[in-house]
Amino acid sequence: MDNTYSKTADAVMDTDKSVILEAKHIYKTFPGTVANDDVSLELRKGEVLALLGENGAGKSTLMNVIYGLYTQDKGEIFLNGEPYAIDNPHDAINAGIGMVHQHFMLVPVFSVLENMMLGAETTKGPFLNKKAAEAKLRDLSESFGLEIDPHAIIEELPVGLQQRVEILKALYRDV
Amino acid sequence: MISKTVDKKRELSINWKLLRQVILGLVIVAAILFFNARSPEKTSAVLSSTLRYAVPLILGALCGIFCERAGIVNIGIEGQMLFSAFLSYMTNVWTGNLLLSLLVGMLTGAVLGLFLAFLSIKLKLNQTIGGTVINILATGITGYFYQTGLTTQGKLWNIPLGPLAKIPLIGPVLFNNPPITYIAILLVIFSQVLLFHTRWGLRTRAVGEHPRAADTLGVDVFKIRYWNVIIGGVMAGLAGSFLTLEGVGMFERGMTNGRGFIALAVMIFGKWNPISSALAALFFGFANAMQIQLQFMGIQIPHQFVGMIPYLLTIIVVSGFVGRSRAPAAEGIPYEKE
Repeated sequence: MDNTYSKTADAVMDTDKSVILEAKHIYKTFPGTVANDDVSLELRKGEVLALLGENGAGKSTLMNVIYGLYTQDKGEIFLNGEPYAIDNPHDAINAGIGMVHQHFMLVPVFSVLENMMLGAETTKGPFLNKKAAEAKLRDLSESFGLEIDPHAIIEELPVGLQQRVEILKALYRDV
Repeated sequence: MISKTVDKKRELSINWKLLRQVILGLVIVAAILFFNARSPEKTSAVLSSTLRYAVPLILGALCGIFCERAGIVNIGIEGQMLFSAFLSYMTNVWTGNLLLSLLVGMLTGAVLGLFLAFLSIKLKLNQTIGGTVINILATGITGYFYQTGLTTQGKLWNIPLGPLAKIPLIGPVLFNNPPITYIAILLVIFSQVLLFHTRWGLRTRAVGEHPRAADTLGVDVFKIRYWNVIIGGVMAGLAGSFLTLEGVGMFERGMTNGRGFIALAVMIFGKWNPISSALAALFFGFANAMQIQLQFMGIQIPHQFVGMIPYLLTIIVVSGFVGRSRAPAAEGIPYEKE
């Protein structure tokens, strides 16, 4: 699996084609398998990049490395030209990198709103500012056309709507 | 469309629940007033005894709530209470300083909480076994070091809250109590607010339900678990101190007498919710107060059977009356980072 993904869609892009995210020679192993073997990737501003591959090809591993859930064994990542060394999702979120997970990372008994707030809480004094969070969620829902009831409980929602919540969750973190 | 119907359903169900609670509350108030009209002394004695019995259960249940909401099963509450009761008592014997004794009790609970957290989080030991270890340790160590014939210089005294204590019936019951009782009541409100209206509470509940989801959002699962189990330990420590500094005034071997386990039943009855659990604890306290009254009335039933009432109620309530009560999903499962 020696793959080099590079820009493929530059025809669609606007004038600014600066590289935002660059992964160089990422190498990541798990006991018994080599998930990423010397993978490099370049993402330019405004670009939508698709990563295709069969099951077990290492797509999610690469994403998890970039999101800070895994740490690569070898290789470097650059964000806006700066070295990007993170080892937890919190730093990734702060750097503006979000992830919509394949397996839902939603708390099933929480409401949509509680899932939005988790890890990115707005507070008023010592208390959660649920009103502000709800307003922000409604704004996002409206501007992206992703309608959702903020007070619905996740486990009562159909899978399609749960996916919508996952997407909104990433948007909510201003990524 | 979907969101609107869901909203409407939820509104209706809340009204039903509220209505039921209001009716239940009115029935209780009416019953208390009725009995108060018939025999005021007995009524206030029953109510005071209800509260006194409920306080350690409330604190024990709060310990369980903090631990389990964060995903750690704590069946060592009994041991934490017993150990704290013993060390607060011994501090009181040695120094006669009640405040210091209280602090020692809280600290003992916290240290045992840290121990349980270490076993369950770091060593990933089966949490039921971890709790059992604490119970056995507490019974053994306190039993071994306890000597009979020790005396203390006194216990915590009642602090009447000014004019509030003069209100008929509820004044002496609610507003003329020793300090740990007030602390327990305040802690119920504090815990309710903390769990459901703060960042810490949101994260705690998330960690108890789906730690991986919390982790992917940058929440430190281990830190949240450690601290909640330690906070819970402080509550169990207070419960122990209550027994020796405020309730009985002295220590006896195995004096917790299953209260730590009833506290767990109270927690389940209260659906892992501080206010509901406090009401559940009062219910058990009331059962116990009635049991004492029945023994005084000289009914022709052996007192051992009457004494069983609170425990029988525990079984009945936990097996049948709780309804749909769901424990935090990640409870008891050690979290492993990938």
